[in-house]
Amino acid sequence: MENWFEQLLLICLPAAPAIGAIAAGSCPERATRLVRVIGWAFSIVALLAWIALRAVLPDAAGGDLLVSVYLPWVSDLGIGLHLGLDGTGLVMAGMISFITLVAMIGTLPSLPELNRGHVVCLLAAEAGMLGVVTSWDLILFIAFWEVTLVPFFFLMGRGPTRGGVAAATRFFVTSVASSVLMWIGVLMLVQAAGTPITFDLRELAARFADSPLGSFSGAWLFIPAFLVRMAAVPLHTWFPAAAASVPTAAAVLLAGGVLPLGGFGLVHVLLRLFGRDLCGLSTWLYWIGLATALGGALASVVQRDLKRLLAYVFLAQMGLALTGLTLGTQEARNGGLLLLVATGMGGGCLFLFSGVVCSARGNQRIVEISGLWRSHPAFAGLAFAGIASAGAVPGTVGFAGAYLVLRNLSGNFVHLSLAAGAVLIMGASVLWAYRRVTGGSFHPEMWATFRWPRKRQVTILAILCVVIVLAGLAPGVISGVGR
Amino acid sequence: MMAAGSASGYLVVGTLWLLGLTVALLEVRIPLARRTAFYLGLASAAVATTLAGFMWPGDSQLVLAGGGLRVDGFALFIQVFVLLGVVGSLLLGLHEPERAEAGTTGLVLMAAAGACLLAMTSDLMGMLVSFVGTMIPLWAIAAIHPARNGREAALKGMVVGSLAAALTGLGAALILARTGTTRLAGIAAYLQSADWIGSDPLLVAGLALVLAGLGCFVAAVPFHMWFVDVVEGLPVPAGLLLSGGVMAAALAAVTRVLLVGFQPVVLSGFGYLSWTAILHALGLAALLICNALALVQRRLKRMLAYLAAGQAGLVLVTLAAIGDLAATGQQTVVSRAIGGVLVFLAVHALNWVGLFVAVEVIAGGVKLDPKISRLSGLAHRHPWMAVAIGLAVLCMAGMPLTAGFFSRLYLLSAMVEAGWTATAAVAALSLGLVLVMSLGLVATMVMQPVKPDDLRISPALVLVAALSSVTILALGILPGGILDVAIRSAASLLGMV
Repeated sequence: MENWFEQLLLICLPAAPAIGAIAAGSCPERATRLVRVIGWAFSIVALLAWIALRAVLPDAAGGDLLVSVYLPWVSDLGIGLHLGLDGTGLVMAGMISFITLVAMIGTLPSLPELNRGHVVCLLAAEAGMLGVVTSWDLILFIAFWEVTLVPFFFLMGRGPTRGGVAAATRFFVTSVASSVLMWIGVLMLVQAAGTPITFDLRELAARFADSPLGSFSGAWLFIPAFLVRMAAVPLHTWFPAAAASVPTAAAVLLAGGVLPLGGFGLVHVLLRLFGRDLCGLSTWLYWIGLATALGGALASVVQRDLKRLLAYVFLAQMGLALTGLTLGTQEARNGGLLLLVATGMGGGCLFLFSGVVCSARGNQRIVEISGLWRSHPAFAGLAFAGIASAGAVPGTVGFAGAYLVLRNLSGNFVHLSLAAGAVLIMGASVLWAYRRVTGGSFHPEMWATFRWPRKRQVTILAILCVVIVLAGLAPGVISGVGR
Repeated sequence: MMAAGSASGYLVVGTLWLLGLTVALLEVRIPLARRTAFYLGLASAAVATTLAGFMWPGDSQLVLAGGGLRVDGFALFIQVFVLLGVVGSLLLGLHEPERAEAGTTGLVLMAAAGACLLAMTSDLMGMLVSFVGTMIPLWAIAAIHPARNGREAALKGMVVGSLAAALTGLGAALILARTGTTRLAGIAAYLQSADWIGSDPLLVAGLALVLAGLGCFVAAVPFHMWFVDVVEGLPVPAGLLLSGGVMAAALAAVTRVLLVGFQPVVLSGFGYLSWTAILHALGLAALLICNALALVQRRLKRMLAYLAAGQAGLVLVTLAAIGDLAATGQQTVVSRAIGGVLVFLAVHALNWVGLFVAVEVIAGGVKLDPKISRLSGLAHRHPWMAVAIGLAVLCMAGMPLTAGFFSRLYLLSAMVEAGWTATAAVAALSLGLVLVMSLGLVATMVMQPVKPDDLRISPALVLVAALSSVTILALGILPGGILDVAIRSAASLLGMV
């Protein structure tokens, strides 16, 4: 027990928000202030735990565990409560705790009377996502993976419009259908691993390292679960619909948590167990990634709705990330991971921005919004960091990721030009939208009279921008440990 | 030990029967205060649960009635959870005792006794007797229930039940004619020694008839309609007993018949006698059709009845897979898989208590099966009750952190271990359907506007809801212990072969 402090911090990551959710849920509905304080406090605790972990843990070489906690759970089946973090997990955990804090501080409940549910759902979603990142047991992984759906359903569905419910249902149904297939895949995998039966990720990886799976027929059962969460073609349709119609907090967490987690799951489970060629599936995934990148970028060009346009751009960025993750080289994989972080940070930033702006304007059409540069220069200026990251402008995390992926494609001219075309189109369409929204003249009579953006929204956006730029200027901070 | 065990084996059943009879007679003859009847029943069910619980660990098994009854770990495990379900059902009855007809409590206890017998019986004819002994009190309850469809339900149940009994009886007779016994152990011994049984018309017809009869009793498609109608026609506590505890006991009985009596004929080369294929088809049909039908129900009890039939289908498929698995001779894997089935049945019995709390909450003042829409806005009116119901609903769907997650995982795991991957995927997708449905129920409670409130929450109801939530969470968060016990219980079943 020499590293009990790290272990305690590790347990804190999923446990603090979970406890916070229970605490906030037990408060009376009228205690708005108390509930909000609990929400802020527990999400800050999770972030502080991560910062402390980042400070005490060494920089890792290789994808091995930096810290772990193991408790037996169902010993007859070799299922354990195995929490752990490797370099990639550490990065993801930081991003998720940060983005949830952004959502917690930067967004308001969609209706004032939903305050308690809003905070409870945010904390529960954070607990679930951090659980996914830290679990090193496949059953635990699935448990967190599915539990996360419930707070998301209510976060997405409890808005002022009916569209949110439809989007939430679509997300829920596709997610469930794909993740039950993953159950079967996991069971087949564990059976293929032989006796003694175990669901421990590290143990399984060790066994498959000795005797690789070769062509494992259950491999494809895993794929839909991750592709749905990554919003990859053809399982992407839930994301633009959701982004356009769900409350801001849900949109921020979808782009900042769910999408990157899909990619993380691919790295955490599939690449670890199935090896570089993913039991022969990596070519397929590579093409799906390219198709998503190009399709998403092209679709974003024709969008007239600000949030849908952003959704397609981030979807395209996820496609590029998928391409990078399945390309096979270490550098491309780091690029993919950087792009996951870029989507998380940029998505969080831009969906927060667009959520605030669209609700103040009461309209999501790009052509109906103008003049922000004149009326709210600081807020509009801060959002440019997110735009720049999505458009792969040098100096942002989005550029660092896209550059690494493209450089590894340079052997094949056709593929390179497809991917580079996608990046260029993405950049063009976000920049066009940004110019339309911020440029032109401001007509105060068309905008809501309440004070927007709030001071805390500007502050949290500013912090987010600093992180985006820092991660872009020193990508080694991410890719160095994310090996 | 032997004498004490045998005595308490009889005691479990005997206590329930005697008390049931007494309470029923008393209630009809001397108008006993309804509440008193419920307390009497509750006390006896609690005593029986304790007795059954005390007799575990069942490493040693007791043979009663010349081999017709076996009090082994398997039987005791099921009995404990069925009886816990009975306790839940009687507690639910305390919510609005004035809605129950005189005699209902006694009849519920008799049905519970029949279910306990079902878990122990190890003989085809004994099985038939205990099935009918379980069902008759339930039909009687339906018949005296003043709801509009009570009598119709009783009649349907009786017609189909008699048919099923006749089929099983005929099948048992044919098997007796060939093997000279109706004891499961004797049948297994005969099948193991004989060498041309695959084309023996008597055996094939006998097994087919027995399977049809048993399928009827556990509400397998196409014989599921009676079950849904009877559950709908019964008052809430009895409906809970039928779709929860009795269903679990009946599935346990089927498990025993097939895995003990007819296990030897799964091996390839036994021609028509391989029951796993039939069970596979029956179970898949039940799983898919009943879950799909549950999705379109507007009334809560019918929906729960369809879901219970779907659960039974899942168990039947798993039993078929275990049959194939057992033919490979991996004893540890098989006992683990049967242990998983036992956990599933236990969780089913407990989970249905929580689900019927929802029915009881919204049934107030309604003669018919209450509409699901009456749940709307419950989370705003009675938040803790909504949490309890939500937990039960998510448990039914196999959401992680509830007991349902692991119990479903065990069944799927058994299918995959038998190599039935495609079946497992279909089963998992149908579970996804249930998950979507359950989230719909939760959304009704949370996101729909509050209805004018004529709901009454009594302390009894709160107690049941709290108990069911605690067990669901406890078994979901600490699932290791019960599986361990269940695996050892399952080993006692396999020891018989």
